[in-house]
Amino acid sequence: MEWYEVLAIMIGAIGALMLAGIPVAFAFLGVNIVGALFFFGGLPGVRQVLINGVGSVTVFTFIPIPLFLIMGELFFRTGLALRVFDALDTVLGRLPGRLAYLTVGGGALFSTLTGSSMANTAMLGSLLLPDMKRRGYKPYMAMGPILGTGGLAMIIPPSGLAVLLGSIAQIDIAALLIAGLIPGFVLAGLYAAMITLQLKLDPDAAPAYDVEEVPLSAKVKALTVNVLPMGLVIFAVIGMILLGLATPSEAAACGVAAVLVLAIAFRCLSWDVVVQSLRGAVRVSGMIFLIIVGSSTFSQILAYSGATVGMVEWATQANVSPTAMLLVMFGVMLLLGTMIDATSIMLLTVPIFLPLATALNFDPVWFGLVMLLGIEMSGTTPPFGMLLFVMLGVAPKGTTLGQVARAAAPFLFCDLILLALLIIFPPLALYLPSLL
Amino acid sequence: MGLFARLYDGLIRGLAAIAGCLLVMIFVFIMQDVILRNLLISPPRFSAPASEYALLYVTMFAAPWLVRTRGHVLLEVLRRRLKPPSARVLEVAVYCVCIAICTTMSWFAIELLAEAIRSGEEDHRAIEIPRTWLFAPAAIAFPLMTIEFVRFLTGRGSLYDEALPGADGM
Repeated sequence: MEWYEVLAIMIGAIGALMLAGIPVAFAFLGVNIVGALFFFGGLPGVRQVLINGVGSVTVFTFIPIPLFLIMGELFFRTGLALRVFDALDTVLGRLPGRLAYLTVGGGALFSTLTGSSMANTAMLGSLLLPDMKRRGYKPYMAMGPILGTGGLAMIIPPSGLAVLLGSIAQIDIAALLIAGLIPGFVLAGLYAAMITLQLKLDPDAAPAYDVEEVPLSAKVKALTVNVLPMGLVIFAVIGMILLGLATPSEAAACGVAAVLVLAIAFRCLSWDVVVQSLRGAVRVSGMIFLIIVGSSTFSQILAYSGATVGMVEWATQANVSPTAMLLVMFGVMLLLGTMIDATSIMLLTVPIFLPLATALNFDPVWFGLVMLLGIEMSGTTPPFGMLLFVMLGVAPKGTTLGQVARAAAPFLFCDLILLALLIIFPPLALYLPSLL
Repeated sequence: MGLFARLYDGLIRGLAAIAGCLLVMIFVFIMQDVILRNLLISPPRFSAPASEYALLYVTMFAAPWLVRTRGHVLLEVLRRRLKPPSARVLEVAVYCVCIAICTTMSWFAIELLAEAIRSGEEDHRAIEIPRTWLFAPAAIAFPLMTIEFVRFLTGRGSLYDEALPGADGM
């Protein structure tokens, strides 16, 4: 069988099972069982699927994933996130389009404190959308910044997806986490610039309204009491990695400890919050890890059947520039994102894209960040991007998916600008990792 | 609900609760390593490999509960576009495929577990643990997931219902 036939059958079969409504983890398992029967010599090959699956999650580099999840759950469930948000709201004062800017500022800050883009989008959406609607914001101005900013959590550390990508692609996780810091904030800046541009073109999109005058001393107090202490969490995770004091797993544990300390200090930690946070973390990490178990043999089957070598040879011999090849890979991720979730995109594409990226001499950390950007964008690509549905779930009744998708479009354009910047100027991503 | 059903529900929820406790254990072990290392004391050898094995137990012990509470991510694109009778046929087909997958995995997990018990082999990392411990969680989880899909097939709930209350997460 030719390599492209194997590739098409494997990916097509996984896609068909997913489309039929089989949970992603079981779709991977099913195709891998059949693939192992064909390529690994019958039933002993199927045993290998289980042995690989069991071994695939007993990996130390995965440990930050559940810990980042606990950190994020605690941060939101204890109400610490709300404190940060209220403080930023106080500081912004009478700025035109303040709620849109508040979304970007709050979202970027939340992204440094949690690693969940879905939680970010849900929180920003449920907090700000009703207020924006009451203030007469047009739907695109209300939803767009939230959709764009929600995805920042995938890029700005601590990012659970960056850990997952680093682990399965064997990229230095600390470097990949830190690589997202500057591009993440550049992206937040681009979002803010986009809001300014939209307001210039359509000032009625965010009507001005009176805000109670807050004295400077109250603003300083709000920042000092509610935002500054969050620096402890940022230092525990990003600072510890940057200073080389902790591995990503240790930094994640320190992040959990820092959130616990803050929650105790603010007297908002309860047994119920701890149980709910653990339940949320078990739920998401269990879901992600079972997909990893299911997909663990996928890359081996591709390699064993000759699909990986065949594809790499084709790609390197084809008369296509590395940048064009990168854009093709980026496009494939966006296409996949219209249908499947971030974890599945990663597990499906890494075994195919990583050998290609290596053959094309892409820096692995830089390529990892480009992948994360693609996956971030894919969450907001219509018609089935996951974040579009999260937004639809928290948007006022009567909001259509089309409205949500149109609102996201200008912010997807900002993502493309960042992609161009990363291609033209790789140190944007690679400068901080070079300091490690 | 009969005694057996209550015990079975307790087992599914209990395993998920153990998964939560294991996450706490991982956090404690990692923090212990950080603190001891900064005090220039050698951390114990067991904490890193124990945390690695714990990830496997978290995955497997949470899996049946995730099937029960519709926590495994899936697509409903096609099913939602079908008329109810066709959607039901597709749903039954999905359950049958999932039962076949879980039964196959159960079979091999139990076989590997039995082999590991017979051979007494060990898994060597910073510490040695019996390979039995590696296959035991899969030999528990896959049969339970098979039962969960059989429950859906026999009309006890649907994989496509809304996620159960209290099962929310990020």
